[in-house]
Amino acid sequence: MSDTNDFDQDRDVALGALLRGHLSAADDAAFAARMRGEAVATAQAGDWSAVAHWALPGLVAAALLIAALGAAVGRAMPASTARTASGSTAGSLTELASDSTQAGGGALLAVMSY
Amino acid sequence: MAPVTDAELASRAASGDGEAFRALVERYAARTRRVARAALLEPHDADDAVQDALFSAWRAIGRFDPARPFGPWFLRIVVNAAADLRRRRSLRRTEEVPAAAADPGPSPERDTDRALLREALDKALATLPERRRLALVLHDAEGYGHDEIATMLNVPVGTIRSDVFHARRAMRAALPALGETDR
Repeated sequence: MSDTNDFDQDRDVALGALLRGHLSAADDAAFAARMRGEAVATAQAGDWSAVAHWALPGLVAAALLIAALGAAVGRAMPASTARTASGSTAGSLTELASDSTQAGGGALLAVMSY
Repeated sequence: MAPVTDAELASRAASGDGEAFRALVERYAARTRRVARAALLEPHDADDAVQDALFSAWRAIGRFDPARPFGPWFLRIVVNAAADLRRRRSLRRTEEVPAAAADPGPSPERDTDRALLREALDKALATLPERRRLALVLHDAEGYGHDEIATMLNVPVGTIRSDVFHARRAMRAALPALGETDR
C-alpha cells in the first residue's frame, strides 16, 4: 500500500490490486459464461414479456369488439326473427324442401316441421 | 478488427439488441461480482445479487442513455440489487466477521501465508461499513473516480472522498505487515 494523499483522485494501486485479487474467484470466467447464459434467458423472457405486453391490450380490444358486434347483432336479430315468423316460414320451408337433394334433407324438414 | 466499445454495445443494447446486452454482461461479469462481494461479503449472496441486477438491467436498458458510460450505470444497479438482497435476507454483516474468517476450520491452506492473508483481508473488510467498503473497492480496485462513485452510491462526492480516506486508514491499521511488505 502506498502513501498517497487519500483525498486525491489517485488510486492506491497496490491496495487496489490486493483487493481485486482477494475479491476475484478462480471461477470468474465460468461465472461470466454463466451470466451470459442468464442474459440470453433474460433477454428471451424479455422478448416474450414484450409480446405479452403488446398482446394483452390487443386481446382486450378484440374481446370488446366481439362483444360490441354481438350486442349489435343481438339487437338486430329480434326484428329479423319477427319477419320470419310472420310471413315467410312456409316459403322458407318450401325452399328448403326443394333444395334438399342431399341425404338428410328429409330429416331436416322433419325437424323444422316439428 | 478493433474490439467493440462499451458505448457501441450499450447503444445497440438500449435499442433492444440482446446479443449486445449479453456481450456487455460477459464483459462486466467479473467486475460486478467483485463489487457485489465487497457489498455483501458472501460469495453466494453476491452471485445472486449479480443475477438480480442482470434482470433489472435488461428491464431498464431501454432507458439507458448510451452517451453515458455503461459501467457506472450497471454497477449502480448491482449495488442496489445487493442492498435489496441484504434487506430481503435480513443480512447484518456490515460489522460482523464472516463465519469463514472467524472460524475457517481445517484446511490445507490454513497455515499458508495466502490463507492468512485472506483471513486478514476478510476481517479488515468486514470491519468497514458497507459504503466505505464499496467506495474503497470501486475507487482503488476498479478504478472509478470519486464523482462516478458518488453517482453510483447516490451520496455527495465529499462523502466518497472521506469514505475512501477512512477505509484506507482502516485497512492499513488492520494489515500493518502487509503495508510494510508491499511498500
